[in-house]
Amino acid sequence: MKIIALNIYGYGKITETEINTNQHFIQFFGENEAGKSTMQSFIHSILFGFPTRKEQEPRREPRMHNLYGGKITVDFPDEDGPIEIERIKGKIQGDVKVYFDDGTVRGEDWLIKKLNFIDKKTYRSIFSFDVLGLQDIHKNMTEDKLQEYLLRAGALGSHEYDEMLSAIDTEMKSIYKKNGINPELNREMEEMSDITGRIKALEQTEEQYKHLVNEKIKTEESLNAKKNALYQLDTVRKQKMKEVMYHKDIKEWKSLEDKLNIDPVIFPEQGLERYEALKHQVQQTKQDIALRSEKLKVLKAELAGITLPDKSRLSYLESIQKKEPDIKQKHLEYARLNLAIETLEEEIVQLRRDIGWNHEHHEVDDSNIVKESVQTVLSKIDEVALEEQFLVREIDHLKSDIKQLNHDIERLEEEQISDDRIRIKKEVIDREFELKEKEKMFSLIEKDYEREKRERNRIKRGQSGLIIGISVIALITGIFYLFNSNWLMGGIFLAIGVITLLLLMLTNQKEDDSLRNDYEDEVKELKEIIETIKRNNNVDFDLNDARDLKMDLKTQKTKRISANVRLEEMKETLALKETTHDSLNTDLAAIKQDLKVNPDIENKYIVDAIHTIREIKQKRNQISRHNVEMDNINRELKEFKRSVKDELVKFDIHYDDSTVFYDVKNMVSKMYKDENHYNRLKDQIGLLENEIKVLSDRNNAGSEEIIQLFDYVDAEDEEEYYYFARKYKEYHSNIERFRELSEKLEEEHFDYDARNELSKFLLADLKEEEDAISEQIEEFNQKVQNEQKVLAELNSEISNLESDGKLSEVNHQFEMKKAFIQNLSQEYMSLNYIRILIETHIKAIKDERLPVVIEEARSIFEKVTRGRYINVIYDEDGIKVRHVNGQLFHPLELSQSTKEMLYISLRLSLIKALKGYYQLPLIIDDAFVHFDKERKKIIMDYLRSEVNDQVLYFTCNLDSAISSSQTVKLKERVK
Amino acid sequence: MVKFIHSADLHLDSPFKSRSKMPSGLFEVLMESTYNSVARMMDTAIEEKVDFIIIAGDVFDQANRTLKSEIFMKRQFERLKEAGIFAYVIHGNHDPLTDGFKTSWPDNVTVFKENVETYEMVSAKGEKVSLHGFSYYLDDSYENKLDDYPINSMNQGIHIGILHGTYAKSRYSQERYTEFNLEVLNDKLYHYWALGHIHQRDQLSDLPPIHYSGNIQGRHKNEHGEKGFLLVEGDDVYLNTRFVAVQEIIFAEYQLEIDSLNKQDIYQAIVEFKHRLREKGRHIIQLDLIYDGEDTIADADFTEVIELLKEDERDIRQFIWIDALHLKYMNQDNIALLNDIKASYSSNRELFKEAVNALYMDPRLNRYLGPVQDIAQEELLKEGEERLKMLMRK
Repeated sequence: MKIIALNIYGYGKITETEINTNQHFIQFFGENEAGKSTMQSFIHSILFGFPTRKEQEPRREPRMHNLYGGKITVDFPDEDGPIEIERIKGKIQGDVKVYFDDGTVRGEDWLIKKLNFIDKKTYRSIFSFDVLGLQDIHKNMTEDKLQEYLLRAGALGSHEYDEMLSAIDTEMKSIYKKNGINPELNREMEEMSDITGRIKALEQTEEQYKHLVNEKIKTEESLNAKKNALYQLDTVRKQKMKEVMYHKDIKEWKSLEDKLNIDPVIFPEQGLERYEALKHQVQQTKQDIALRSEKLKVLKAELAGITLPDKSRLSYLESIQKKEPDIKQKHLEYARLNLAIETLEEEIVQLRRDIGWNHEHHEVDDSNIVKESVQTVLSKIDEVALEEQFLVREIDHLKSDIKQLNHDIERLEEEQISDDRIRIKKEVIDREFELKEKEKMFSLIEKDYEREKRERNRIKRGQSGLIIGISVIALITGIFYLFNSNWLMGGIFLAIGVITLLLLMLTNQKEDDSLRNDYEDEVKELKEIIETIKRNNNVDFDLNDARDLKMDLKTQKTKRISANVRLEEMKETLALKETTHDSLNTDLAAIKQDLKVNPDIENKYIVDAIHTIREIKQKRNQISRHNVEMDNINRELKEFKRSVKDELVKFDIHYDDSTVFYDVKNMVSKMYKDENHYNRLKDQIGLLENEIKVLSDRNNAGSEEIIQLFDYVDAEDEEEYYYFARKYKEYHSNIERFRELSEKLEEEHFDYDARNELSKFLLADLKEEEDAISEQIEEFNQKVQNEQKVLAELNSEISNLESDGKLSEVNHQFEMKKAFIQNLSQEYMSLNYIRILIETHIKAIKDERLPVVIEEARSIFEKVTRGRYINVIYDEDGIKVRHVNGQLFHPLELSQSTKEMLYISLRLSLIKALKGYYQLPLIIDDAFVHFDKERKKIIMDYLRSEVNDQVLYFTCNLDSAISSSQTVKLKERVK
Repeated sequence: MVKFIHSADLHLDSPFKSRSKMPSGLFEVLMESTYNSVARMMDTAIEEKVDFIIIAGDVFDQANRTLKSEIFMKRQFERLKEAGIFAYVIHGNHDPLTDGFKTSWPDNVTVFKENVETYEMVSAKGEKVSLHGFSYYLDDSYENKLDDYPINSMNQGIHIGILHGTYAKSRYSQERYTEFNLEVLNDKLYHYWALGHIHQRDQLSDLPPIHYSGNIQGRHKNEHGEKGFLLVEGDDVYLNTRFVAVQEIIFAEYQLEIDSLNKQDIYQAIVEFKHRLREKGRHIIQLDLIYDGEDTIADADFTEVIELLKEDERDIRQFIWIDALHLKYMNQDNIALLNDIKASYSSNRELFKEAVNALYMDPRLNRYLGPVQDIAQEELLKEGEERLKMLMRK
């Protein structure tokens, strides 16, 4: 690839520059700061992208220009026509467009492919030479590393592989070592073997499960058999126990059976009870009859002593008794009326006293007409009295007002200010106003004047300066001439000088300020006048205040006149009211006379007096009504007494008002009592007679029944009857017991034969049998318990195994870890694979490519040293060179420039070796500064003639041997 | 109308495969997950009052066939028995008959023997149902027994075929036991084929319905998405299927674009992503972060983010566990120097073998590694390159 032209739009400080580079070898010459490095960076950037942040290189975006990037025109040997590669600002590495001669446009992908995927770093380390790289070798590299660097930089273009290998190696070692302990994989393996062991143990435990289950089934079967046997034994024992328990009953049953083998005994139903009840009844009845006969006798005697009272007399007495409440009521009414009359009389006396009457005057008129006329007169008197009071108060009030007004007027008259003083004050105010106006005017004039004056002074100073200048020049000229003895000219010039000075003095005179002064005087004069007036008169008051005072005085006087008029009016009205009052009082006295009341009675009580008179009249009427009632009552009482008195004597009762009713009542109650007693006795006698008859009937029946009972059992007497009764009872209780036992034993499954059989055994034999069975059962129970214990143990072991999820958990852990180990292994193997690939690659290069490179380097080195060194050898110890005299030299033993020669030779040979991959321009950045003229010439000649690729040589020492067509001169551009 | 459940590949208590070490809380959830999924299936069976359930092989997993799983299964079958539900079970390559039982099932469970058998039952609605199937006798020796399945010539009642096998057209590469094609199954004239063995749920045919129910709980990254069983309902004309998800944990892969490589930003973006996902249940995911920018992040920082994310999930019940977190740079080229090397030597099998043998030659280690032929050269190279890039960013 050959670069034909550079077109820089803007890169660093270079802007809008086009350079033709269509040469095989081209020298870029420029002083320091001319932009050589920028130019190199530009070429790198266009081909491989603008510097990114990672690269330790400035981006060189122009500061004064907004275009970044540019275009390179190149020629590819396998493409037709020149191709333009343009890279401008876009994404970080810039946007690329590739323009073909035929007009097609391609992108960055094409370019990258065309450059065979080489990147900027690789390009630099192979195709760029700079003196710094060489200097670094001297300064920073130890002697031994130089060899390495030479080899690697030369042979491989990069030492990245080494970095990669060491990184991979570290990582791999951290993952796995064949016999290691600490690496991750080794540790995991250790844990794994642990887990495997646990799994084995757990699996064995689980294997036992089947065995346990079999064992369990066996045990369960044997247990069931035993339980069955036990059950049967238990049944037998229970039977025996029952037999023992009922043995006594069976024996009894047997003896009863023998006893009852006779004819049945007969006896009447409930015979004994019935006999005893009858016997008792007969005795009881006899006693009752005797008692009742006795009582009957007594009652008959009592009845004979009682007489029955007469009915008509009884009813008469009862009628008198009924009148009692009525008579008592009438007595009470009479007493009450008497009391009421007395009370009323007393009240009338009291009322008469209230209104001052000595006698009752029934003829007095107490009608409502009189009452209303009194009320009217009274209200009128009240009204008049109120009005009088009001007027007196008003008059007093007015009098005090008038007094106050007089006082105010006196004070105001004293305070008045004279009219003369007011006039003078007005004059002063006018003049002060005039003065103010004039002062304002004056200040305006003064300002104007000052400004004018300054202007004039400036002009005047200019004029005078000029004149002085002229005069001084003239004077000096004059003196000069005088010294030169040119008297005429000297005189003339001196004269001119003097004249001008004089002229200046003349013009420089003062001006008058007359107008200003006039005004000033006028103002002053005015001020004086004002002062004089002020001094002569007392004008120290406010004009408005004086006017207000005058007005006040006038107002107060008017008020006083109106108050006096009102006072007079009120006095007249008062006199009128007093006359009216007197006439009303006379009317009232006349009314009192008519009512015959005490004339001294107060006016307000007159109405009450009328009411009192009415009340007296009312009470008198009531007394007369009560008297009539009392007469009536008295008459009725006398009537009653007369009718009763004679009748009562018949009953042996003496009439008396207070006791008559009591006596009648006693008589009546006695009569009733006798009557009742007689009747009751008669009833009792009838009853007793009946009872005695019934009892004797029943006694006969009882005796008959007793005889029947005796006949039933053929008994002679009571003793024999009782004997039969006992026999009968014994027989029946035996039957009852026998039936009971038969039933009980039947219930318990003892049939007739079994009963007979068992009754032959002894109790002791049965008990012995039972004990033997119990022992057997005990034995079986023990066995069953043991087996159950075994079964429980088995069950718990089985359920332990069933609920134990440990094997499952450990299996999970195992698989999880296995996956983890596989992943780690995969990682390890992948890294190992990469490592092997890189190592193989390096070995291949060493084996295949290096000899070619060395051979080429040898040929170049021989050529550029003009045959002084004839061989470059690469062996186990590194690189060596052979001098023409046959000696081998280590690079350290070489001179600085020779060493650099060797380095350059190696690099050039490498470029040749890589020709198949990359054909790119070489960029040499002043790499030959350490060479003398000859050496430099040799290497330049070599580069120009022997190198097939384009060479861009940047230098600050112009090589004049290179034709100007192959030289581009860069100049510092400052804008 | 008959109603039943078709499930397969319970792989009860099967160990999980994860890339990272998990905290004990998560580990416990994982361990219980297959149990919980099965228990949920049984719950559904009882709730839906199905007539019977079919388990088409691989009830257990030979990697972890313990008493715990058998006892659990026994208890579950007992639950079905109480509800009057029958169970028809065949054994697959992961739990062959020879791996004998330590326990015995209740009498509502019918286990098919190694030769093709037919069992008949009558559904709650009175239909006669015939079930045909066989169990694996040994995991690795089998013969194709499809010919032994009887042909439904009478067409009486409903006929269901139960089979643990591999569909001829499936891409499943290993363990291609009992390979079959649809023609053979169709020829049997059954009403339904309940298949097992392939863990991905799949419908092979609609008439007759031929289904893989898939496994009941995913166990590693390749068994992603919802897992469960098929609830089948219908009559001798057609049987409808409905998928019921019962998984405890979902495995999934996600990509997440990020626009900054600041470690706080990465952390924040992932936390938000997890928050969105958390609503959908527990997940174990592989997350690829896609970054299209200039920056890089140091390996140590990235590791810190990973550790932080793991720490966050430590005690959370509803966890989102990121099993593998990869950062993909869209904008950064491969290491240029490697391109050359890859071009020159990646076809050299010897170098690959040498790399792999470093570990396979260690007897203490190789027992834990998978078959050597399972390691793909391409993948190994890619992984190594990724790893190297990460290392070089330090």
